[in-house]
Amino acid sequence: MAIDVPPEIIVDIFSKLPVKSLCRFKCLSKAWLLLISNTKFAKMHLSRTNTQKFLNYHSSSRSLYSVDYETSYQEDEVVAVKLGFPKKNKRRSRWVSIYGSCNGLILLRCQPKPYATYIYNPSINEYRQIPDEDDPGNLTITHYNCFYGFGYAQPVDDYKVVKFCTREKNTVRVFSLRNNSWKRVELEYDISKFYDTDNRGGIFLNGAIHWIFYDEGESKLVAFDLMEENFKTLPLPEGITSMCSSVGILGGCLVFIERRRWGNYLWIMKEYNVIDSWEAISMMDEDNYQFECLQALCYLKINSEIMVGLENEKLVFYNPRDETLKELASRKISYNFPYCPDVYQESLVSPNYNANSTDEGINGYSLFILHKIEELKI
Amino acid sequence: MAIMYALKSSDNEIFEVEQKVIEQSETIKKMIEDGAATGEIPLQVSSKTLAKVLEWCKQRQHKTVENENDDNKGKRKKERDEDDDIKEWENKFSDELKADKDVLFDLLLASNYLDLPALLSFLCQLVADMVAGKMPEEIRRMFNIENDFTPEEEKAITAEHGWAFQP
Repeated sequence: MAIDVPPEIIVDIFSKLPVKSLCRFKCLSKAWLLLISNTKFAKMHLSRTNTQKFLNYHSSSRSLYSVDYETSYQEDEVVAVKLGFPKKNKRRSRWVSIYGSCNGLILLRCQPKPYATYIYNPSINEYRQIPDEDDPGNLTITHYNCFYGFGYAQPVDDYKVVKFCTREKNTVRVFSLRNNSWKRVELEYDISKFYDTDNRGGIFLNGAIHWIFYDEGESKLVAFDLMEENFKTLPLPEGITSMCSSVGILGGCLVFIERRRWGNYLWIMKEYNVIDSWEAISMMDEDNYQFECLQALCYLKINSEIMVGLENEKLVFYNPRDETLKELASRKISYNFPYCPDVYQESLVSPNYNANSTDEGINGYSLFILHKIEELKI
Repeated sequence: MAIMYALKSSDNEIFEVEQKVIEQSETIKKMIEDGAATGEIPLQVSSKTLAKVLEWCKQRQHKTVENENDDNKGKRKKERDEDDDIKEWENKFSDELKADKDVLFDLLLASNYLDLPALLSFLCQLVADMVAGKMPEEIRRMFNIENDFTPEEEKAITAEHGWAFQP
């Protein structure tokens, strides 16, 4: 069976394919190689697909794993794939921390010294090292007082890495992927007392990166807007005094988990920046879970269960309807998950963002296809 | 009384259809608005495929009318049941198309020609799910794509994306 399907329909079909299929189809012809590598097509694909996985660092094998949690849940076993990054280095073992994700790109930091920061897309196995900022004090920064975030500034079509350290009480450093450079932003906002037990990266939503910090004994939800490049404070539910997990994202809403003596509460901000929209789901805790990492990570598409975190090297899913927790362990392979995972969306977005944003060198049939994409008004 | 139109397939079969049903096609809607649709409307679509197009349009039409007549009471439960019904209908529709790929691809072209975005999007997803696991050679055959890489180029690019060829 071979018929002449117009290229715009093939583009339409391809825009709904998994990333892995598309990487394989780069071999079809020169035109399709250019199309699938094109920034505009990557955006179109991103808006039309939603395959989420989570990324986890496994300390004993010093490797990153991608976990297909939907399949894992359905098959009742953790389905994990070892990723090609970081590359093995015999002389020096590196630890990797995950500091946030946006549109399929993930901010990673390798330690110990010399530190190195990367933007990595596990779906297409491409990475890019971020140069260290010009900061002689950088080496003295310890784990607990330095924070990272990563997000997308849509109006300027740029990805930004945000870094700030409490000892520089009014300074935030912002790296632009498009400009490939750092800049210092001086603020009136005082960040010197910010403290966070988990030290997870910020969560990107609505053009801003979000964290929950302790600020002089009080929990505070703050957002760093990537366009305004300034902090603002968002309302937490009234009466939150006890321990909070770091902020997460669930179904497009900000969430966090409040730990209480007799169980946990999952708080969801149904409407962004509206204090009255916070809703709590009680999470029964008869087994007295301690949670090495407690974080609402994702809704399962299949039945809206929530994957909440890690306990004793198992993934834990919570079903809010019948208030049950389900553990998922790996039977075949001894994976364990000692570090907090992060959810990412599969995408074609390249970390080498500034390098491939022009249509130069594209001609003939490829140009025709690209014009067809333009017409699709992405 | 509903206004009826007569559609004529490329193999000269006549389909009598309500205006509301067929107006989902932007192409036909324009023809009606321009007054070009007097008597039979000739379409470059085979009767087999046109029957499928109309099956889709009637199902969609059915859905829109019911939603308009809804009051808000008990809507959530009703919506859920309806969603299940639609899912079931769509699954049956998909299964029939998967069994007859000539009709599927014909329908794909027809939905483009008749400007039925919802059907086009539905079919693109269906085809995407079908081709996701295929090898480049099969895709080239399916879509008449000419391989213009030199053997060296193809080898290099296949090697670069070797992981994407693994199961």
